[in-house]
Amino acid sequence: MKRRSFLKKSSLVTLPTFLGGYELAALSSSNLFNMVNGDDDKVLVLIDMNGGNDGLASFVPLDYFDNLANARPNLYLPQNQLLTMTDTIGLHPEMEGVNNLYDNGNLTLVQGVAYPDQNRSHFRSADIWNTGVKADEFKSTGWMGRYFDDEFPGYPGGYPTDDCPDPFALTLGKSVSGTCQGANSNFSLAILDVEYLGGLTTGVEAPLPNDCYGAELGYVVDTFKKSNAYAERIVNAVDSGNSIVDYPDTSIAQRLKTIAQMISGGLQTKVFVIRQGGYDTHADQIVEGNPTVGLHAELLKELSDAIFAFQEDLKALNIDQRVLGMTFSEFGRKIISNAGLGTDHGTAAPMMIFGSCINAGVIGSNPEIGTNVDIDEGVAMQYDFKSVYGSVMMDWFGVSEADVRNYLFEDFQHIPIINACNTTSTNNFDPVPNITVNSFPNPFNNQFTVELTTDRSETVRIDVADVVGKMVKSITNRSLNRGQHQIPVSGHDLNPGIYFVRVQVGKAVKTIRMVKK
Amino acid sequence: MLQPYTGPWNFEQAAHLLRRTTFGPNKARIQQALDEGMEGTFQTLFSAPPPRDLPVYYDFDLDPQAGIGETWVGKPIDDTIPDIYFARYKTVFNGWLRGMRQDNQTITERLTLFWHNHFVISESGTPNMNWKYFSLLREFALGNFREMTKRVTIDQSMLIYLNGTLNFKDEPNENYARELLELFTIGKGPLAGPGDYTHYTEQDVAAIARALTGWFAWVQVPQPAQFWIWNHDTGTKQLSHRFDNQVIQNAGADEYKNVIDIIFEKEEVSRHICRRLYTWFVYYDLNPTIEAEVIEPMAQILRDNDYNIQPALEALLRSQHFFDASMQGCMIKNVFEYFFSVFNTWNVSIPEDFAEEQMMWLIFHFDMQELGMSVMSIPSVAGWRAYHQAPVFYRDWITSASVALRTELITKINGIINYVSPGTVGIDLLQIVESMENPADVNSLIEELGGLFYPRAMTLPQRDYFKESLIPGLPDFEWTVEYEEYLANPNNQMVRQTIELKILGLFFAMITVPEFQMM
Repeated sequence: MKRRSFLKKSSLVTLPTFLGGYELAALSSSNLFNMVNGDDDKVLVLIDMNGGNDGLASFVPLDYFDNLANARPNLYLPQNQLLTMTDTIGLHPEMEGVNNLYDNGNLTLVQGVAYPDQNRSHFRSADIWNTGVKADEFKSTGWMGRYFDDEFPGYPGGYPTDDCPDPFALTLGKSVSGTCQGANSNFSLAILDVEYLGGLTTGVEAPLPNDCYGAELGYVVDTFKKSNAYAERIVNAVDSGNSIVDYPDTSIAQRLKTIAQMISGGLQTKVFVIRQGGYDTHADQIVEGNPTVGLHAELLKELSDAIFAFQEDLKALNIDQRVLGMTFSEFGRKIISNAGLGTDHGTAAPMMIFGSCINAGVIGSNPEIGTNVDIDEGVAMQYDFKSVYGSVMMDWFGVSEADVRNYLFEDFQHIPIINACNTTSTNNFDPVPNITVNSFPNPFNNQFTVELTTDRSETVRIDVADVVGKMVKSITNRSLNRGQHQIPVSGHDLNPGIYFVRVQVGKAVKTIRMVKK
Repeated sequence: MLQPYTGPWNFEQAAHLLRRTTFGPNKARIQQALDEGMEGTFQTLFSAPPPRDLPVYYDFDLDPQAGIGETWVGKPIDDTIPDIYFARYKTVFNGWLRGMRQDNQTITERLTLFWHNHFVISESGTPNMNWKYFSLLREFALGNFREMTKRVTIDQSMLIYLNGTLNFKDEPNENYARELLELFTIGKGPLAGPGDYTHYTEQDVAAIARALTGWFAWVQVPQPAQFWIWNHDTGTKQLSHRFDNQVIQNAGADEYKNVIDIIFEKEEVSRHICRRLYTWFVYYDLNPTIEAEVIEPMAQILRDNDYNIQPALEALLRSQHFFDASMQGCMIKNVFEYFFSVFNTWNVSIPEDFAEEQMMWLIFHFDMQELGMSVMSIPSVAGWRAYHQAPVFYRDWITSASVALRTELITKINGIINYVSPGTVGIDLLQIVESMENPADVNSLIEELGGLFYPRAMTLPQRDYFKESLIPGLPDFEWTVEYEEYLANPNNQMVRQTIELKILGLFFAMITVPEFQMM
């Protein structure tokens, strides 16, 4: 069975036969919910914090504060200046907007997001995030692009159509988004400014020769045509759309304002992508002697104020239940700062998901910072970004779990980020088990024991990564009953140093930092 | 063996070669190439360029080191003087654009830009440093790639851009070492195992970072980078099996040379740089056939010539493959190429006054920056996306947004020139029309302009479409009548303006179709 699209208007027409042919139980309840409500108007706003955001200077782990301060004496943020997000998370003082989002129940923070075998090159890592692949896998299509490809085979030929009059995705910037790269074409349209849309002439088209000239010219012709076809719709949406709250006068805030106008003006675009560059803070992340100001502070303030204004606007416009926002960054930064008042490419970083239909709160635990941090050590991975993406696809866009595994990866782990939002949807997902995990002795010589207690029978996966996020050992991947288990781990083959043991029990994750003597 | 091109040498081939090696060849330049023949044209293209003028102040009189008309190169910068950085930088920006206009004879400008895109620096350092850096790229543009890599490695601008200057003995910074391998020399291959990128491994990145410790560039001091022996890691550095388990011994200030020599022992370096050149000059599809039939022989030539760039590049540009009809027109113009394919091809007049000319370039510089291309502001260390980002490559230049802005830039040319230099007529289209073989014949006129503007011949319906903008609904001879009327009364303003307006309509129709984005 190929599940029909949430995007296609026509899917609603075929609904009765569709439902008639299958048992309800065979459908994911969230799919059913989306379709029954004709709820094909969900929007995802992706914000690319380009360059690799320093999560440790954004969401400061208060429970490891002293160790963090020791590891980065020249740029840590003084504890008394942090905003209190939770008992154990202090926010960068410029992130008031995010603090407000959190207090209002509009923010989910997912801790320690990365992928196994972290690649610390910007380009490759950005490719991995955009294409949604494993570190050693190469795909030319983006994670949303593959989904769009399946839903709209043949694109761009023939589009826009009566059913799909609007671009599937919009990038507010000069470049289209790698996330939306499909097999034949990119599903996103780049717009700098609404006034520069349309009116492109294609003259008289000659047949395209079957060579590289034909291929490239064909792309240009197609861009001209799509731009013209979509221009009127976009301009009308912005004109008839609205924006109520005041936005800061920053480029990212103004772009979000335009997005709010487009959505409220009825544009049916599903994915919006904006990019905020500058997070590659190898040097001068802060101003010397004044760690709460500088490059990173400015970026966080700009972003934080912008997304808070956006969320408030969406509420005021009463479209907040249709919109989900998500930030991502190609990697986090190393725990130890460098001598140039900056930080170098690291491993995991937190992701922010904001909106009105989320399970607000913090998913995952604070990154564990040791007393002796390795020079190359990054923040350990707790969640694979592909699981975050996949959970959004499933719960927001109603894609089946089987399709998610196909688009992203077989090891997909559902993360309960999104709730059904004011509905009585009987979410049939498994609950998150309560687990406790210990690992001892620490430090260890040649072997250690992972002690695990779970209140549900679950598939348990235990992996070991090194300080740069490289997977060095896979311990187990099997089903365990509820109760307590002791799993011995042999570390004979490991060099002395720091390791992260990641224990995944169903939807629960715990990462423990271990030291081999 | 890269099969040399032996076919006819006519307008189509000459225009193709010049579009790919210079910026916006005009009719006279293409005619020159036809007169010189293919051999002569290559000799001209690869001859020494005119020396680049030193940047001089043209409107800034607050610097005691240099007045208007004098160069600031080699003179210290007093950063308490307001706007002094911008005053110096803008003359660097202007200089690049000026070069793309003035040197229409050699491949130098295209190639220097290639190296800027290869050995990227972006918004780092000081004007003096950056000027020196660009001079280095120009000096070595056709020279020895290995030697160039050595010079770049310890160049101040690069030490600052990729944090080599923060690469300390006790705290190695891997940024430069990583890009040296991944982008500049050997290139990253498929992941073969944890931390193993086929051509090199994480171990090599770490080892090379250590070998490069000790180099330091003061941001504010305009003197060569310094080597601080006390900050150099004197231990031995063990490379991985990808470099045959070689060991880099301590060699102090010469160690970086040994590092680069070791890297260049690997043949993969020659392939990597040839792929980059191919993508810059020909096309981006490096399929197995291209790898075997173009990249391999080119890389062999490069190695046979001790990594001197010119023989390999010349072999590519002289090849049957380069001139193959099916390979022509496959590049989407980047912003500079697009702009100059109008500005130079149309012989747009530039203000005679030097300061006015500089002001003009600066405005174009910012307009083109808005379109996504300007020197010293490259989006990432991998260069402009069009030359590395699969699967989009050149298509990255084309979005709904950029296409409209490109056309708008052309419509602004006259206004900008008039603004900086009242009275200067920038675009004189009549003069271009007059230079055609048979301007009184509408079909011949449009076809000849098509040959100048487009990489491939237009179809008859396309010709008729453009004709519509010139003589809407009228028989062909009406153009002849109108044009001859103008020839008979060249000084009659009304006649002149009438025909100019018509021609303007034709030219804009011709540059706004998708075909004009191709080269």
